[in-house]
Amino acid sequence: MTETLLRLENINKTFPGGVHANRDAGLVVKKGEIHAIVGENGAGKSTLMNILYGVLQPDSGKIYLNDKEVSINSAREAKKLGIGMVHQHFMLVPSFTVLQNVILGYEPRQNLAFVDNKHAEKQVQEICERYNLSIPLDSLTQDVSVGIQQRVEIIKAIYRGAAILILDEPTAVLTPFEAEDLFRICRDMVAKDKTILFISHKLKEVLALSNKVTVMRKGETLVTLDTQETSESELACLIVGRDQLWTVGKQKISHDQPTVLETQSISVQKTAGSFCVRDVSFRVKAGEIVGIAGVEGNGQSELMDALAGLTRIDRGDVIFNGSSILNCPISELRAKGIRLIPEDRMTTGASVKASIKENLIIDRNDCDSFISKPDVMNWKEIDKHSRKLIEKFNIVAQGPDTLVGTLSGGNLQKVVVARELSGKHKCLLVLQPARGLDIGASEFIYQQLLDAREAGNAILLVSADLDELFLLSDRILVIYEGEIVAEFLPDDVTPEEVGLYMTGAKRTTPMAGSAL
Amino acid sequence: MNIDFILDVLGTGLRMATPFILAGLGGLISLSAGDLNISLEGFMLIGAFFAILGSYLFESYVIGICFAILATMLYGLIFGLFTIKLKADVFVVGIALNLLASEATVFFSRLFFNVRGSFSDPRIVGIPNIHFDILEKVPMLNELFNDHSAFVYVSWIMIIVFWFLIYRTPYGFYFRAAGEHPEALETTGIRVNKIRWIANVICSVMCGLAGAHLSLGYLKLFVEDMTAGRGFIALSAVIFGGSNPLTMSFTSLLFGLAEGISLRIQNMGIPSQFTLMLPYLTTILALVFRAVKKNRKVSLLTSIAAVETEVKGEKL
Amino acid sequence: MKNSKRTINSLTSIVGVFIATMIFGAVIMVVIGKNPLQAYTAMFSYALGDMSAIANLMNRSMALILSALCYAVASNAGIYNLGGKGQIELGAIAAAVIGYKLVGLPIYIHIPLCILAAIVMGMIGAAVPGYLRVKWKVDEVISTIMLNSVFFMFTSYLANYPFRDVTRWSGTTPPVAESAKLPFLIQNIDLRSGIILGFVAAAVIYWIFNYTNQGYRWKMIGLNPRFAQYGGVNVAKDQMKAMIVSGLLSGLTGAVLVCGSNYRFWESIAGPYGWDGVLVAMLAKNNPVAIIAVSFVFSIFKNGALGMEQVAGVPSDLTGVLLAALILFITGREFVSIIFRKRKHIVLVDEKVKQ
Repeated sequence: MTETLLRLENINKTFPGGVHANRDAGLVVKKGEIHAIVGENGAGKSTLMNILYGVLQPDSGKIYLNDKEVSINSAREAKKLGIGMVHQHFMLVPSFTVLQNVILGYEPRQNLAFVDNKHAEKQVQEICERYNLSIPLDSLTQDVSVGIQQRVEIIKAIYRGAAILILDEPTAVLTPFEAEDLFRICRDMVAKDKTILFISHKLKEVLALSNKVTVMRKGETLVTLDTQETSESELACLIVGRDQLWTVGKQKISHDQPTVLETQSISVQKTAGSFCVRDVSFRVKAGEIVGIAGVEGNGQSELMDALAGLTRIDRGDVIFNGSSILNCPISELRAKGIRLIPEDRMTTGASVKASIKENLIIDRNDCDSFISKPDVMNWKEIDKHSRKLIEKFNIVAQGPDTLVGTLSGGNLQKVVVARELSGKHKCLLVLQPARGLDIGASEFIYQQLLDAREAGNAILLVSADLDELFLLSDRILVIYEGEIVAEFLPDDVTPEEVGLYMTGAKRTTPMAGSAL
Repeated sequence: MNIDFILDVLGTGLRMATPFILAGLGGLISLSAGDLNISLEGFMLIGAFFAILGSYLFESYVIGICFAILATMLYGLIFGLFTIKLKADVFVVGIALNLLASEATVFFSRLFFNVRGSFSDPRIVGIPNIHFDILEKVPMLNELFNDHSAFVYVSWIMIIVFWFLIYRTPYGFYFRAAGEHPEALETTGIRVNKIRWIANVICSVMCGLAGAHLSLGYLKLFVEDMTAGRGFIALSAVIFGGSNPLTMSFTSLLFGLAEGISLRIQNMGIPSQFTLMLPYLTTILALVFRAVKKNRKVSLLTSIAAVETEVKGEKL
Repeated sequence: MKNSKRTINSLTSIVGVFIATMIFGAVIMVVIGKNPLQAYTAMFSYALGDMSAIANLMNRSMALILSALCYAVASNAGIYNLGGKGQIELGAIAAAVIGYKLVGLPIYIHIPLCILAAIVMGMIGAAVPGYLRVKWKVDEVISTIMLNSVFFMFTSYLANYPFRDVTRWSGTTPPVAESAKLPFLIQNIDLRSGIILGFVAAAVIYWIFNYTNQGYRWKMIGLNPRFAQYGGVNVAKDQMKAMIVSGLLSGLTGAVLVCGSNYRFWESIAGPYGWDGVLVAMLAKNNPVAIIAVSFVFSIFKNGALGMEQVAGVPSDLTGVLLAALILFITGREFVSIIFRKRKHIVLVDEKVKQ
């Protein structure tokens, strides 16, 4: 009978500012288990794991390892106890080789001062062989794919003596194909001698991989179930506390809508001679949402930046409502009604040290009601305008003078969306609109996009979340290494199949009858 | 323009490069650990003054060097306190320390020596030149490499030492990790702040050596603001060289050469002002050259520094 | 209005820091065996003692205000013009040359011409590193500092060769014509009219910063240039404009130094103004109103230094040390204010309990 390896009891943690992240949370993990922890954003999963990993200290509660009470005061102590963590955002130094990243901080020494590379390489190779993993030790980490980087993180944890591995949202950045590979690795590790804890919000994967699943909501651990004895819908209900998700009522678009945005063989250079976007051609009609699926780093960000005017398009042409807008300055693109909801809302989409009203008018530098001659700002009007938007978009803030940096993620995104949707807009370029937001905020944003679609906007949507794409898109394009390699109607394809195209395993020529 | 003249200029260039190399190596470590230390100038000046003070009081250049290093380390303590502990903006603190060094050395000059402007005294013992007997056999090499002040040779040794430090020891990795991805380092259990302090100390010491060379190496005197922008020239060499000590040193040699040429052509009928401009113009040209090469694609997407400041904290 | 609240906040914290600095100075004085009380009273009475001292204070402040505004305009827009000293020198020599070469002009034409020449030279001096930064991303911190030396050499050349006054020691231009001298405001206490320019410039800049679209765009560029670009702002153009205005202000400083007090150019005419301006702007956090206040306090220290030395025997350079140390204390003030806020909170809680 497998013994209990790890036990957490009555863990409480409150953050300054009053956020009660863990309330009497508890966990029981047996040796050799693959134990999933599920819950919404803010449910307390990451906090609990960070406490286990020593990064945070609980206000109260006990942790037992092999039935002995332990206190974990730092990551280094956690590692000594055999607990390792693979974070969602990798802790790898880009310019180091893979080997250097694996041994960082734990380098074997030669003559006391120098690093013993040979010895290190041997040790790491041993681990790779034992767990049937392979990583290119001499490649630079920045050149290696995300899936490989994750393996590096896993081997890094094992190198430091981890018996328990905590994986935080491990498949967030992987294609379905790479995720399958990860599952195989996990099962192999558990078969050998490891125990795995993983945090996820992807219920399908939880059901595929884990033996046990613990549901967390609002800081509490509700229940631990045997994975075999539960279902996706049961878990979803437990997580959200109500009946399943919000569904979309989309009207079919009529086929004789005009093409609003068209790209003709556009290419964008990254460095001299290498292109991150190659020969991309597609069309977006009025009232249509075209989704672009792809693993991060395949050119979708660069494509959107180029369409939005932030970088140069080096070849090809972009046609907007019949006329070319190739490399127009951003102010002109915005005047024509092209708007961007960017990927990083904190650094591009908003200015966190400025107030809400200052954020809302950055693109209104020629607006007559806000600026009177000879260049004087009409702050009263701007204030009124801001209050209207705050109300309309339900932004929780003290007023237009509130600094945007003090807002929550959801409210910050609302400020971005409010600004982009409050001027004249005909074409929306949207990236990862609901990343990091909870269900309430996500739904709000999705509704805004659908309303814009209803109003005849042409919308281009880039997302790493296939569920989001399938939910919102009328058509889905797949981008791989800068090229569009496939096009589907969401009803005609499964996410797994899309995943194959995302990794370049398959390609297709344009479908008959598509707008290409 | 005969061979002797060229050798003379090159030899001068080698000498002049020494403060750039020494301070530059310190700045390099500082930069790789994440802080672009703008106050190399101020640190060097402090080193220069206290080297003179030590040598004057104890009639020994060794004590002078010790004084210089202690003083710059103390100065580094202030820098570290404000930038690492209090998390103040490195740029602002750097500017403040540059100005403070200038004012403070003048103040101390008045206080200890009762002079303004420059201070010199026969009691001051300078750093000796080193003579290599072997080199006497090869006339060209002899003129180029022999009889330089000790620190010139020390700086070359330091280049090699630092190369090993950065690429072959764990600390080299820790510095680079602290600068590139501090979280990655922190999660291995190594405190990023400890690494930054170590980088701070190394930079302070190197600037102290650079300053000591400046005042005790050839001159044996202290002049107000005698660093004359050398700290910034060293900074340009650091920027130009990236995190590679070899490239940085090569750039320093180039800048040293500019200074060497400027010194030697002063007697050739051109108003001295134009010759004196040479090192500064060269520095600007080097930066422009580097920028032009790097920025084939000109866009403002990479105003990372400003954005980081926004997200991390206030800039005065 | 929000802006006045922020101004008051920054002023109060500046006062706190000045007091901390004076304590620091007192400690140093005691260490070198002098009486701080005596030294400080001497300093204040020398600087503020009579009307003519106050006039001197205002004269000194005028160049400081302009120089600080120069750095503030640029740094507010995210571009760091540390080349004030060199640009002041360019402006000064231009004003001096126009001042002595042209004769027979009425004062209300001659002075504007001098100012115009100075402004143009200052703008060029700033435009060069500005262009390098905006077009080629050459770090303006280093390029402006390097150009300080280049411009110093260049103006030194001009003052030693083509425009030299041979009757004087080297590096000086001939005196400007009477018609190029700024009139006195109040003759008998030696108060010059340059101070008006200082106030006017500060008022204009304040207005631009807070009430115009250009000022708003500059602020947003300074806070987050990527966001500004994304919003359609032409960041390159606006930053270039900021540099040019910055250069204009240093050129103006040079003109005021020549036409207002020195009446000729010499090599060290810019004196400490370039760097002191940077210090003042940093202390005042680029706020024009605060710049005026800080400039005055600065000038009290600088003017009073001589009194401190004569009466109390403290080397006058100490004030320079204190003012530079001031900046360090400023950077620590955020830390201090956090502690202060925490203690205030505890006091409030106690009072509530008592009720």
